[in-house]
Amino acid sequence: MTRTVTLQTIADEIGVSRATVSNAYNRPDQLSAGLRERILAAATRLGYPGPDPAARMLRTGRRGAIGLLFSEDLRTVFDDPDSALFIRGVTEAATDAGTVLTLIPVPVGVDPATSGVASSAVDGYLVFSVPDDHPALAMVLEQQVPIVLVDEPDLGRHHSFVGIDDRAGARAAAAHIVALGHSRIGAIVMRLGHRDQPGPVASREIGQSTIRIVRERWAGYTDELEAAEIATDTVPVWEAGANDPDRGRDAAFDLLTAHPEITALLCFSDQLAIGASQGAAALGRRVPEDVSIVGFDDIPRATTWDPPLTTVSQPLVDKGRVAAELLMEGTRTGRARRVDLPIGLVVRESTAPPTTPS
Amino acid sequence: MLLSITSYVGRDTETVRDQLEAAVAPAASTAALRIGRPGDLKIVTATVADGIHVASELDELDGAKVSVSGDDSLAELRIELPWGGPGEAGRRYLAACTFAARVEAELLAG
Repeated sequence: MTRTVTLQTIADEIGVSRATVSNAYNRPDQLSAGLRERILAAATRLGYPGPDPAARMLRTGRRGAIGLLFSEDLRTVFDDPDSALFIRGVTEAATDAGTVLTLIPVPVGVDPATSGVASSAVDGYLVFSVPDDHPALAMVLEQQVPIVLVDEPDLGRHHSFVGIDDRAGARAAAAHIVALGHSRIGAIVMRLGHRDQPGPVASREIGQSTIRIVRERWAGYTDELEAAEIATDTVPVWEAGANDPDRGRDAAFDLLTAHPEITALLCFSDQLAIGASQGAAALGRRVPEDVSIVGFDDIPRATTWDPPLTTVSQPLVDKGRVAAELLMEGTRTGRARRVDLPIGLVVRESTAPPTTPS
Repeated sequence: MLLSITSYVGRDTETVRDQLEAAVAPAASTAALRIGRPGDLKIVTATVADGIHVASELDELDGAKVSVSGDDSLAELRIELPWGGPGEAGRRYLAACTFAARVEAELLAG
């Protein structure tokens, strides 16, 4: 008959306590390297496969995993540099902590009840850039586990939040454009909510977007434009429908065709700004001589793009790391905290004074 | 550029403000230990308008500003730290967050 090997079997073999054997697996800093090697060697010799994760989960009440919830499909998330850099930071922190990361996409049209939100065994959630009215958010909140909201929504002091001062960043971008002498300015926004409806949008609609960063960035742009006595209800704004260069290109093409007088474009992201420069080129408009373009995020491609993009930088990898560390802290302490990461305007070569007088 | 960490202490703001300076030194020591530095580091504080400024031998906390706002039932504790740029989230964030947690703990215990 085969004997079941347990922690106690190994403890008896070595002549130490069961707790010491347990520490060799779970808290290696609690015993000497030599003793740990003897324990692990005995375990191998006796055929012990290691602690049962299910048993450990039952004993500690912890799953050893965190969930990352987002409202795009998985391909989009990895194609989008902002998201990919954020996930890199999350992965670094989770790896360092020996925590499993579970990706939970709940794109528009997927019923959250049939998504990973209902079935994932996690100690807490990172909720990454989810519109205010996303149905998965309510499901996560009902589970009453720690959550960290990233970028949006901001649910106040009872839930941890990691983000940047989007409004200040946008204000800096608009101030730069105004200081260069531009007054005929347009804007390109990724989208205002769940809908994918490319085309012109009224400024009041942007203020009612269900996406917090869209509202905040628009508020920042308008702060500065109004200070420069530019009527923001006359600023043409185009909704791209999604945050990718192809949509940015199409939006810029349509916007600059409809409003050829525009000399500067405020783009809500670098992805849109990169596309916008292609859209301008398709119309024979040079960047920055004929039209200045400023982005937001400072993704790696902003530096290598021709011309390199003027943009608002934010530490995307750091944001992921900080969010994951904050969540793991929250699963231990239950405390909520808010972290605002730094931003800065990076002036490169996609902006210049207008060549035609305003 | 600044990193800002905001946390909440369920106590009277004036009391928290009075106890703030005493909470900083042990919090800095804990942060130092957490990132593998000796815990006994020289800390110099200076009072500023709504809080205190921290000068520390621990680079990760040097130049921090700790401020308090709020009302008679809830104090909002804000720690602002100089941030060099991308890639700072490792030791600096770990130090800052540990510092914030210990300041909170000291204020709640005080």
